Amino acid sequence: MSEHTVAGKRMPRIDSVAKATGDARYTADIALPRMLHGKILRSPHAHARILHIDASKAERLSGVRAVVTGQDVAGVRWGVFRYTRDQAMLALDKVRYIGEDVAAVAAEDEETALEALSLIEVEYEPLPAVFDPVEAMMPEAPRIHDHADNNVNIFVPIEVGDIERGFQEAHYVREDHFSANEHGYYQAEPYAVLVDCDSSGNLEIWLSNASPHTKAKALANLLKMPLHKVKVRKVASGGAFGGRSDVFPGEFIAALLSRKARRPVKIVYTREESLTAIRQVHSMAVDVKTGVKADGTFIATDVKVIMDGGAYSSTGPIATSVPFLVWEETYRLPNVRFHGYRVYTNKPVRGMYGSHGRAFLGGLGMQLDMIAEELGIDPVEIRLRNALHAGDVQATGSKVFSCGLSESIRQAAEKSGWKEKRGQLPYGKGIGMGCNGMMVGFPMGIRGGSSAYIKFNEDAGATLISGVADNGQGNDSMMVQIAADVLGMRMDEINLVSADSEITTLDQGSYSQAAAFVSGNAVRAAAMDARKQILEIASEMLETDVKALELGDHRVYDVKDADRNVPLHKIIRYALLRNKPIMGRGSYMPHVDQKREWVSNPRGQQAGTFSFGAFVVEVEVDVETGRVKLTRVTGAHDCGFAINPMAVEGQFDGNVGRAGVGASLLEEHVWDGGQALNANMLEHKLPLSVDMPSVIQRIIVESMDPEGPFGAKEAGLAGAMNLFQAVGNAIYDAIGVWLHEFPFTPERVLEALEKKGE
Amino acid sequence: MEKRIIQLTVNGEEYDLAVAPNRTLLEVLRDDLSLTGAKAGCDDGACGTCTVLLDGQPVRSCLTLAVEVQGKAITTIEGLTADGDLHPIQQAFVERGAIQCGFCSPGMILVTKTLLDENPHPTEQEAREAISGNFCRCTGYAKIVEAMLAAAEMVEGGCHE
Amino acid sequence: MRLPKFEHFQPGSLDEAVELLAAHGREARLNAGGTALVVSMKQRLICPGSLINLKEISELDFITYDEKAKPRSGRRRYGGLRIGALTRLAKLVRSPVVREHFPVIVQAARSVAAPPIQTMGTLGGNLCQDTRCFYYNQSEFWRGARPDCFKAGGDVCHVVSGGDHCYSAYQGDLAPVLIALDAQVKLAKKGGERTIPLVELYTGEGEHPIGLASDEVLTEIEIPNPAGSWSGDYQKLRHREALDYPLLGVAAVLNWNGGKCVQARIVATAVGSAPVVMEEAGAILQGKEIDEETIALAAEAVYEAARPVAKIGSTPRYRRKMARVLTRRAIANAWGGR
Repeated sequence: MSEHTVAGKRMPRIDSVAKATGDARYTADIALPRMLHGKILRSPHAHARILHIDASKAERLSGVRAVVTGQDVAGVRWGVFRYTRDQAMLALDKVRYIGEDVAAVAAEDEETALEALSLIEVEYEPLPAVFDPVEAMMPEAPRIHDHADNNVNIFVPIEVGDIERGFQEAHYVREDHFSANEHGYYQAEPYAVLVDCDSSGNLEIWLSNASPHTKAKALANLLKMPLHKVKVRKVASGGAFGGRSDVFPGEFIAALLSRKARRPVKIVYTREESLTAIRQVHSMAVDVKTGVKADGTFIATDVKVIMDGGAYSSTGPIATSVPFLVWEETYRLPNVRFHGYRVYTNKPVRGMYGSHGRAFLGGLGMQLDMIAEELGIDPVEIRLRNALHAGDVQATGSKVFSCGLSESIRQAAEKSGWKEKRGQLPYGKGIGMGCNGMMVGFPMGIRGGSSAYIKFNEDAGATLISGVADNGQGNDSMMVQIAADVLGMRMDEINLVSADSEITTLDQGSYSQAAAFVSGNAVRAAAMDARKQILEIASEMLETDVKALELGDHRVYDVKDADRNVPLHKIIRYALLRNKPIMGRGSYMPHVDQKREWVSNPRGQQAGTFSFGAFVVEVEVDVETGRVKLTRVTGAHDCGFAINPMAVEGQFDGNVGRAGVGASLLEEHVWDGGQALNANMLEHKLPLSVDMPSVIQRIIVESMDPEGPFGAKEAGLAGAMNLFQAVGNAIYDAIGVWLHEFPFTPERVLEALEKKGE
Repeated sequence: MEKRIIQLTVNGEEYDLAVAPNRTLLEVLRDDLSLTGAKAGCDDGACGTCTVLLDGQPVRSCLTLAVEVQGKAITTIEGLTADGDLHPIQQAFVERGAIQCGFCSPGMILVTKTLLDENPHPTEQEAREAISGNFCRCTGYAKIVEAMLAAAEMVEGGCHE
Repeated sequence: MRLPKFEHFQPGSLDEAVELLAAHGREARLNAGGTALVVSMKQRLICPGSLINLKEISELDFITYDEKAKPRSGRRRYGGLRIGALTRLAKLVRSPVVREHFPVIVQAARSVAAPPIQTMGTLGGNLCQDTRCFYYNQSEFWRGARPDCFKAGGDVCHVVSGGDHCYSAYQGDLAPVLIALDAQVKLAKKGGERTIPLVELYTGEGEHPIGLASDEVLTEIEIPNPAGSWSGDYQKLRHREALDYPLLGVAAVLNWNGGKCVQARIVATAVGSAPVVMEEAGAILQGKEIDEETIALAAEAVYEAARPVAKIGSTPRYRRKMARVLTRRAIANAWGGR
């Protein structure tokens, strides 16, 4: 197969029409016969012992069909990893944050459910609480979990080489501190879950998720049920950005209520609940000490981060490690020490976000510019000198296969007019760059791989079955595009059944940026397998060697004489008669070191491959108000191969919003104790259409990865981890101040300007 | 607080409903009429996913009481598809990749309809301002604005529905 | 979030409305655009026994303009705008007479939230909006984690430790502009009506910021034609380009004759529980040829007088600093509009 028929082309997605017409069904849109409405009673205390729960009045209220409390599930604890099982999905003896789930009811209607909640009596004994991670680590701080000394949830120690010698040999060393407040995911769709329990105890579950298999397995464990009786169904998902991956009390509670009532139970969270009782985005305090040689290349990197994890672990080990790993996935780091602390506090739980670690990577990226300035090296040049190349091995042992980092840096610099602008724009205007590498497909044991299969109808239409999850980034459409390309079919001739834990085979989900690389490879393999079977049957029918045949345009034909051909539907039927029905199957597991572990063994091949990107941002600063505006963004991203360039562009744009404007300039939660004062969509400042730069130049770099399907790697994080570096660097170029605290609000910019003027 | 019988005109159809005064138009559309295209995205009218057109103008249906809108023409996203064909605005959104998770899309499309009815040749800035009250987390708004301007070309002189 | 239960009335005329207010006054609330009230009800900040929906009272939805001089109750007032309280902000923005004769009103109305909110929100509702604070504008559950503040009926302020009253902020955009234009408002009730200067509608008390009796409704806003040549500007401080309430707002209306400013009205919003007329700043500009120096002096006077406290976003210190910047810009723009 030489040419692509569909892959690489700008294609409308298969799910867009349903979303444009309002037909697409999200969880809250689904109504089942005899469905009950669930509501959850939440703790008003940040830290308290539960002395007594009396739900009897609620149970007796007319219209109430089920009530659950911690007593129904004593002993059950959830954790993403076996060693992080710290969350009882319904608090039994203690609550650890305001909003934690304490009890729940299912009733005939919402009003009755709310009334029932008000009848549940809970006696609390408030305990001293702690809200700052540094304070939480002090010996006198209240202990939040029995198992965690000094409230340290996760400690990731990574040491490579000889850090002390590295600093001794360094030509220039600097230390800097950066920090960021916590913010939120704010996906457009609030959390909702619907669970139905049939008369045999089988559960059907609908909820927005990043992997139905992960949800099914976790619920099966928590409910002590076999997997085949826990069926997580496909449903339209209103955005994830990392915030649907974990397993949350809501789905467990809905399952308990449904089992008890033996009826479907739907729980729809308010926006407030979605922001406080699911996951938030970590705050961080980062200390970076970097040593470089005279030519600006790294010789020693020492980073310490303290992250506020909130009351439970969630994806703690991953969240703590990823910011550092992204840095080592970008540059050659010969000597490294990384100490990452994720600390418990009595605040809502924090998870992984697409633009996770703005203080970390933003800080490192700005420090690199500081170093460049000190040494008189251009920031683009210093990045090129340190950039990883194909064939390099990263600090903790991952080999780099395809690498378009240098290419991305050069193209972003060139297309943005870097040379003419850097250091030369009028005061108040500036240009800056950030770049990063990103892991694609990390070790998840049996869960890290994907498999898919394709079946054909006798009129030659097909159905592709894949466990891939789509949260809006276009994964579903991408799978169909891959299969269609291999089989020479149109996209509208292939149906997709996806993300159903009963029907689809195991798939890693949209974690580790793996949908294209892992799920896509499995689909490609399944399509190739089907193609092989089709050619073999055709070879029989045409009495011609398989090697002389080609599949294209709904037929198999002799490459030397196209008139000798047989239509696909006849091949399908012939195969059926021959008892060799065409059923393509394929799978893919990324080549990672399965022994690698985030905390206990952070060494070995971290990912199947790595994507790379460099973004350049131009800003305009109003020096009287401190307000920063992005005027222009030029981004280059090595996605390996753009299966759907239009979809790839959409990821650039989204990240400019989330990371470039939101995370860099606007978004933060303001706290009083255990409560955020602005956890709502008006006061947590999310970028609007009129806050965006009107020029976004998207450069797709294609390094053609040897393993990826058609060379593809990932595109969803284009800019997500480097835009905040670029914005911080651009502000320095504009007004000569370094900002150390994210987000770069007008207040902070003005304060920095005033300090400089002193 | 008793329910009262009201007549709502939605997408050209008249419905008789028994509705308590404290039910929002959004709740009635979604729960009583199964028109789930309008969404409940937030608690305070800030996000715009609940957008419907009231006599051709975009409003927050989550802040509108059902009992208030008798006699008004209510248009939801479901009302845009005439005879099963996509409205040019919907077509433009699909073709331009302006839809990712889709949760904001009905609101965006309805706001676009009003814009093009009143201003058949909007500038990019006018398009951005028209959707400045509709939140999108996925697209960074870029392709939505692109689609709005492309729809203006397609519609040629305004929508006459 | 669900709304609490209430009786609902839909009067078709002003007469019906004031009858209902007289009958239900204390436990009734007026619903104009609903963009603020409905949210407060979902949060259980306000749980009225009945809601009086004003949307069908078409006699309160009008914009008229009169160019002529017209003496009125002994004072010389020169015609001007009369706007019904139920007029939607979007209608103000589109109105040819307002655009032509009072563009600063259009400027302020356009800055309110976003187009769909302007479609729903009314001028009367915007003027009578409640004061705001991060500790107050929260759901029932959120507020249940701490004692009730003064505004919510309790006896503590969560912003000012040891404070003895409410410091919530008035954050309307139209009020400062209309006050700077010497607007008056008509308030009606059963059996009568009264007309007061708009500035007197605001009590300055966070707990009860709007001086409307429980049986009164705002019906009309009158803005006289300013004498002679004039220009106005409104500067709004917010971190986004749409949707947000002002963190601070400064309106400047300047009248001039020849090269001198004859009268200046500078009014600020979001600096306290009521819009604040910056008298000293106005006095500094009066009679002067406005240049950079006078503008700076006026801006300094506003800075001195502005004491923002409330927790509404940003920091009081920053917002106060911005009072200088916004004042400077508002005056410069207004003066530059000659």
